Amino acid sequence: MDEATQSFIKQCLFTKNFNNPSKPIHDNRLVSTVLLTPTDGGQVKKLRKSKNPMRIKSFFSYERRTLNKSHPNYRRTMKRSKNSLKQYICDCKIASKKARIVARDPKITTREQLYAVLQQKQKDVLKKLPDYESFVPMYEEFWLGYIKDVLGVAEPVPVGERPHINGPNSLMKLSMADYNGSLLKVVKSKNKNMVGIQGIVIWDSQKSFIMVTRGRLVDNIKIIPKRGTVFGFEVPINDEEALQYSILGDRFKYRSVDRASRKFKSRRCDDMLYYLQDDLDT
Amino acid sequence: MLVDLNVRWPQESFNTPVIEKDIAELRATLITLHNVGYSHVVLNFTVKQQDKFPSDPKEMNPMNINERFGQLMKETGLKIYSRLTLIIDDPSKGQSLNKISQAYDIMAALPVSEKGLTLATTSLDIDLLTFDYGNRFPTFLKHKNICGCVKRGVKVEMVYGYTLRDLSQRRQFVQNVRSVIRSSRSRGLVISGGARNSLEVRNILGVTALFRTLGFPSDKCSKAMNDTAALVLLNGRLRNKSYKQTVTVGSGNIVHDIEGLGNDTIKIVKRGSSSSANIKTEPATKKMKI
Repeated sequence: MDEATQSFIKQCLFTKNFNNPSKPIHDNRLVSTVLLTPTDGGQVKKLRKSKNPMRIKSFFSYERRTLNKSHPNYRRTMKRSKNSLKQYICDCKIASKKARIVARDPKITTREQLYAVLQQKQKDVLKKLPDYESFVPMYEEFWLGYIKDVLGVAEPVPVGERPHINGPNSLMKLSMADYNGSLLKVVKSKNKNMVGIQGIVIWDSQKSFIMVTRGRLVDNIKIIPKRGTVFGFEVPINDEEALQYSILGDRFKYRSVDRASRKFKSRRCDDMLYYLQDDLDT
Repeated sequence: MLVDLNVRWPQESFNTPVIEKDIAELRATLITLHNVGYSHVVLNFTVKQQDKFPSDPKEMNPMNINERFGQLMKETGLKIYSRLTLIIDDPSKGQSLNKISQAYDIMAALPVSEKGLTLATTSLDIDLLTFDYGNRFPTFLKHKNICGCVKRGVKVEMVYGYTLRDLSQRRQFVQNVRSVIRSSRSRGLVISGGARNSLEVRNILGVTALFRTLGFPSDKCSKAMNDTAALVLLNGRLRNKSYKQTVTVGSGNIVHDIEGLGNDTIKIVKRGSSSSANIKTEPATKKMKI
């Protein structure tokens, strides 16, 4: 065969049937000894088909089953949980309002006295009163551990030493973190009355933080809007020192679920003038 | 809170050394500014865009404000910040601003060509747009460009220092300021001094009188020197001290807190001012159950 026909065969015929037209026959086929891989005699296939509880679950089918299995009545449950949270907040607010009316009595000066009076007269109010102490473990045990894990300061750092933290990176992680259960303090606000309020967040909604705050006599639930407010929080690294950060509520108006995957963008900060002006008055 | 966003730093490029005599003059200017009523002053270091930025993070900011003016800041209560202005000529020769913007409080751009102006108004990550008011503008300013840039959060600066030097510059200044006011519809404007010595410092009344004659109302003028200028500072500080303006370092005013932060993105405080400590110290009072 001359070269022209050879190239014709290669370009027009072999290309249609083989992946590599210049080498139509695989090298291994010409080797005289063929390797045999050991098998288990069809055991795996058998187990897969049988209904034996020992059977091997193929990873793919397992995953598919869990994905398809959504919560039964997901919508209704969601709606109910929303309503019950609303109900709880309203109940707490009403109860603490009633308790505060009782506490106007000048004889009542301590919490024990107030609770004793309520026990005698208004048992239903006492039952519905929010209790700050019951939320403290949520902050101390859950959230602090979580946020230390996020920042990478789980081990206590010796006093006076700088923790090994990548500053900008930790800020990014904090912007995606969950704040349910954190202890926040209103540092600055357009509404001067809100400055200084401190409480444990029980729900991080889109436009507000719902907090349990500690009062002198009566604990209360407060709904603090994120708009026009700066929240401060601290992450303790040892017994004496803590890392200090603050959240700009104006740029934080997303649900915690959406925030995790969100790409933030710097914006014009004309609406944040209160952040500067607060200091001027004092 | 009277802010002057432009006091010239006596250095032309990164390579030329700083002369002590100039520093003494700068100090005199700063004291004059304080006496005239300014509370926040920004030192402006102008470089060409083509010049190579130093790679060492310590050399990026030659000002060393805390070392040189720490004493002055303590005595007078003046707050001093740093600013880098890039003269943008040809956008293709640009360098990355990511690293160098960490070393300065404010980043500004000074376009001298039409292409540079488009770059500065659309995509560049800066806080302030300024012009060379002593010379003719490279192009006719369009409302769309300037206002789009103001909408993005970049303020436009007007420097009155050019009126105090010579006659031709003064004439050019009037024309240029008129065109800036027209194209921005007097939104997002900032007025600053650009003082080279203490004689070029003016107080707010003098500046207001000057700009009123140029068609900029006096209420807007005082706003341009107070609030809007403070917002530029806030924007610049938030760029370095926060992640996309969501979570910031430290609590309280990050603009006023200079020594506490420096260029650090971690703030360590004594524990217990607001945190869990007071929960532990207080005796747990529980509901009485009978």
